[in-house]
Order: sequence, then structure tokens, then C-alpha cells
Amino acid sequence: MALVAADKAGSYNPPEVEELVARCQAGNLDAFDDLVARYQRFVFTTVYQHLGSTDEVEDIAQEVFLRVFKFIHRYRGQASFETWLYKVVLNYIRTHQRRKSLLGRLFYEPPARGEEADKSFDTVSQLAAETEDPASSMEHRRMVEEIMDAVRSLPRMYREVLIMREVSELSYEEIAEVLGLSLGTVKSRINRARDLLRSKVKL
Amino acid sequence: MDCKQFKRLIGDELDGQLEGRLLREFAEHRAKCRSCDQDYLKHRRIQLYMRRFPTVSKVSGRFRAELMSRVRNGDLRSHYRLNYARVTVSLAFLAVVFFGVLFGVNTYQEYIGQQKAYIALAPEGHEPGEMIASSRALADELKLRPGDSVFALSLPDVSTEEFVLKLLADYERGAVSEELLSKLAVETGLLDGVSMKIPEQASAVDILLGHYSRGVVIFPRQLPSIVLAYVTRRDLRELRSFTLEVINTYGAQVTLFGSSTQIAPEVLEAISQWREEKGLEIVDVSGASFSVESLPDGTEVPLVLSFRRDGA
Repeated sequence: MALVAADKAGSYNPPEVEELVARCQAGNLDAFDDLVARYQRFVFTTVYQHLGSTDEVEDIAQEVFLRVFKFIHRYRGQASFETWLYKVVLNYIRTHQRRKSLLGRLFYEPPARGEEADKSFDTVSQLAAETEDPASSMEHRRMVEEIMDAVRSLPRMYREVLIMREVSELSYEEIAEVLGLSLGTVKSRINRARDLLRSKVKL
Repeated sequence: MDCKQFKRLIGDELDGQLEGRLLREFAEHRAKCRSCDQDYLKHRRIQLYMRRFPTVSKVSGRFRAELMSRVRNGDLRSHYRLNYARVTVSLAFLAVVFFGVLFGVNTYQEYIGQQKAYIALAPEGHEPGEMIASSRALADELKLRPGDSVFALSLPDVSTEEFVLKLLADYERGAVSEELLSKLAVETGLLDGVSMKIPEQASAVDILLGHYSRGVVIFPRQLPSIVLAYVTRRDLRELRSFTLEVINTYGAQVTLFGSSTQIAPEVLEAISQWREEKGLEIVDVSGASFSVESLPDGTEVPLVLSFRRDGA
């Protein structure tokens, strides 16, 4: 995913991102608005791909950006802003999934929802644009769904690295940075995750 | 390159990290080993499909507007709320289960006893406590002079058995002296005896906590609900602190004679008479006006204990 790849020439971030982040760190709300506009699709996509469903993506994205607003002063530029943002997203997804667990549901009350609101985002299958044959397109979509289900059924430690590597296309170094793991651990987890997924998917 | 080496390098190839001689040998093995080739192709297809996972194409302006509204209003807290009521109930439940397992609680009375290694076993034919001391018997026995003090303690929520068990438990942990125990439980005939028993199936937790032996309290066939004892100033002080602990344990409504409906009417009548005829001073051991400073050391004074009348 091009969104994630950071420009590592000189700085981890493009100059406009450096400037935007600096203004956000200074408490500039307009800059934060611009930051949201720039990264909302990235956050939505990451959340959606890790959750595997469109439910609650919007709520989670909102909480993620609120965390970014609260903690952006902690970003020290030691990795690209997108890598840091990915870490925030992943940490929030984990928190969210804990709250959705059996014990979490007992202790936490989900946010009150008003009338069923329309989703504020659209998803798109990248296969649609690439395949002209409808039958073939349908078959591809079915395969994607099967693989998505299989990925969702993997243990978290394998699911996360696999999505980061194969879907978000993060480098090993970026995955290690986001998860706080060594490169060797990341590599072995990815290999194990690939083997597990291969055994679950019928192709 | 053999199949084992090939499989180990599939990940590197998928990540584009194979080059030179290894990449060539990898391709050669694929060409000659159909099984490995299919294995690789499956990995490759999965990777390609995963790179085509759906993405979010467009986010409406409403999302940003709502988010910025929250930011500008300082509404930064998560909308997930901890349900304190459920947390409290769950913790209370866990605490009950924990202590229940730890002490093997069957009844509250057993808990009080077992905690300090005493279990009440009623003898065969045991009947609930009955009122055996009549007002006349009490009045005759007291042989009081005008101006004397009578110390009274009424525990309308505590049965005689419970009182004795608690007394024994406190004696076991050193909070009650042997002298007081003797005066209140042995000399009054409330206690026939205590024997120690080691259960056949003591659990590891019991042994660890030293609860592997149990004292079996033997009560007489009938227990009175009103007891007369003679105690010293020191005993009264001890009894008062013991009483406060009883209140904490049982939540007992400890009241002075005359204000509790649990007290037998004949006793109330007798006490009223003493008050009027002999000008006695009745001191509530648990009351705020309790004082024993005026009593000479070693002098014994009457104490009337009143307990719940079971079946009343």
C-alpha cells in the first residue's frame, strides 16, 4: 500500500508531513484537521483490514484520531509518522477487541448509538477494476473473502504480522518497529503465518 | 537444492529477497519438482489475493466534522464506559467464591467457627435455647442492695451458641482471656466441653493454613437465652471490647434492656421492679455511658447476658 511507504530520503516523512505534525504538536486545530483529512483513508483502511468487517470501523477510527490528538506530542520522529500512526491504530484495535471479548462485554458499555446512521465511508474491491470477466471477478471475490475469513481465524500474533506484510505491505523493519519486536521474530512469525494460512485455504 | 531447502526459501522469494545463485537454484527446483512448484504457487496466489483485499476508497466529510467537533469541545474521552456496578458485583462475587473455596464455608456460623478452628456440633436431642431463668429466680439470685450496679448486655441478634463460638474463637486468637471464657461459658454451664478432631480429608489449603484440626464444641442439651454471671472490672472491660467485635461480626442490635422486643417480658418486668424498688443502676455494657472506673479492683458484680430466643 503506497500510503504506508515512508519517504526515507533524509527524513522519515515528506516535508509537508513534518510541518503538519509540528503544527499539530503545537496545538493547532486546523493543522490537526488537515492531518485527519490526509490520513483518514489510511486509518479507515487499516482498521477495516485488521477487523475484517465494516462494523465499528468509524467508531474505532474516531477513537484512533482522538488518541493521535492527545498523544501526538509523544511522536519524536524516530520512525515515519505513518509507522507511528499504524502503531496507534493497532494498539487501539487490540484495546477494542479486549472490550469486545466476553469479559470485556461484561465490564464495558459500548458507546450509545443514535438512529442507524449511514456509513461515512465506502469500501472498494481492487479486483473489480482489474477484471473484466464478471464470472472471473465473482470467483476472485469469493477467494478474497475466503482468505479474509482464514486470516481472521489466525491467532492474533500471526494475523497482525501477516496483514501488515501482505496487505499493508509494510517492510520487515516497519513491522518490527510497530510491534516492538526483533527482525528475526518478525520474519519467523510471518513464515509461520504464511504456512498456517496456506493450510487453511483451499486454492 | 532439496525440497526442504526450497520450502525454507519460499518466504524469502515471496518477499523478493532471493537473488543470484539461490534464486537460480530455486527456479530450477520449481521446474523439476511438481509438488514444490504447486506449494509455491499456492503461497504466491494467496499473497496476490491478499494484496487485493478491499480498501476504503472514500470517507465522507461527516466523519471529519464529527471528529473535529469532539476535539473542539474537548470531548476526548473514549465513549466506551466502564460499568462500575457490574465490576463491583463481579468482584464481590469473586471474593465470595474465593473465600468460600478457601474456608469451605457451609454456613455463616461454621465460617465464624472454622475460621478459628471451632465447629459447633449440636448433641443428639439438642433443642433450641429456651428461657429457663425466670424473673423471680433472677431477682432472688441477685440479692442486690439499693444503689448496686447491675451490668447488662443484650444481644438480640445473637444466639447463645453463636455467642459461645465467638467467645471460643476470640479465646483461640488471644483476644479473650481464659478467665472471661471460664466465667461466661464454663461456670454458666453454656459449654459442656471442647474436643479437637482432625478431619480424615483435610485439603491441601486447610493444611497450608493450619485449619487441619477442628475443635468440636459440645453444648448442653438445653441452652438458656438469659445468663447470670459475676465478673470483675477487668472482665467487663474485656467484655465490652468483645461486644463491639460481636456487633461488627453479626451486625447485632445490641441494646439495653427495655428497648428490645426480643427480651422476655418477665425479665423486663423484673428489671423495672428493681429499678423502682431498689434504686438500682443498670449499666449497659455496650452503651456510651459505660464506665467501670468507680468499681474497686477484684470486686465481682452481677452481669446479665441476654441472647436471641430461638423459636421465639
